[in-house]
Amino acid sequence: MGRWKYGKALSFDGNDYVSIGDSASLDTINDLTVELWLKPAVTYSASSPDFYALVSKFNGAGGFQFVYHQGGYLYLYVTNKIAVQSSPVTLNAGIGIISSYLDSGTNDAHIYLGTSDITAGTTSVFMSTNNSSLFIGARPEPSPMYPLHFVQGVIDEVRIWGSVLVQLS
Amino acid sequence: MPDDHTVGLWHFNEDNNSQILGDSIGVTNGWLGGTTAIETTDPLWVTSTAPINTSDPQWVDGSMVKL
Repeated sequence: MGRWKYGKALSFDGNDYVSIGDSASLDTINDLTVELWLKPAVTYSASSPDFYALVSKFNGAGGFQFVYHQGGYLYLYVTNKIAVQSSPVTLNAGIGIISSYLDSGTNDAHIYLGTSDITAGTTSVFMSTNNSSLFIGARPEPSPMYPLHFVQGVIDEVRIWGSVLVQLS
Repeated sequence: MPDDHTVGLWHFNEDNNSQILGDSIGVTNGWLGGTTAIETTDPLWVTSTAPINTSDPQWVDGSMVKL
């Protein structure tokens, strides 16, 4: 288990979310890295219903979303396509940092749990713009926008880069 | 401090159930959304209690490399 970098975090009980709003800076990303600290309040397993949206800027087209899906897969969606899909994994209270990146230049994409690369594929999709708000802990559903696919657990230190970051070996 | 490649960073470091997410960097601070009338202050601010383990990766600026 890693160290929570700062003293406070946000606890989501299954019907909560954070809205960051829309921003042009999020629409101009080509390379992308999404990272967050997650301490689930429930065990997210292969039998979990539906999916949980960790970080999402999605309204049916454009944007991206980082989700934990039924079957135990972590997905990074870019537009409405899967950019990268992890191997099945069970997320429990011991999980610290999870992250994913997309390199639009090399079509390389990975998902990490801490230092472990659990990636099962790469990508040929690219970022595009949309006018959706960025939600943390849920996914913004379109027309009219409302939250769904809520996280249960503690989230902290959500960070988005417009570049590709990998870990030192 | 975040580098020039950081689009957004949210520390979630306020402790007063504020509707404004201070202590963030990048795009707008955002706001907290509870989806039921009786939970208008959700999600809750909590104190992180996870143990420190220095052998674990530190995914901060100094331990990651930009390609």
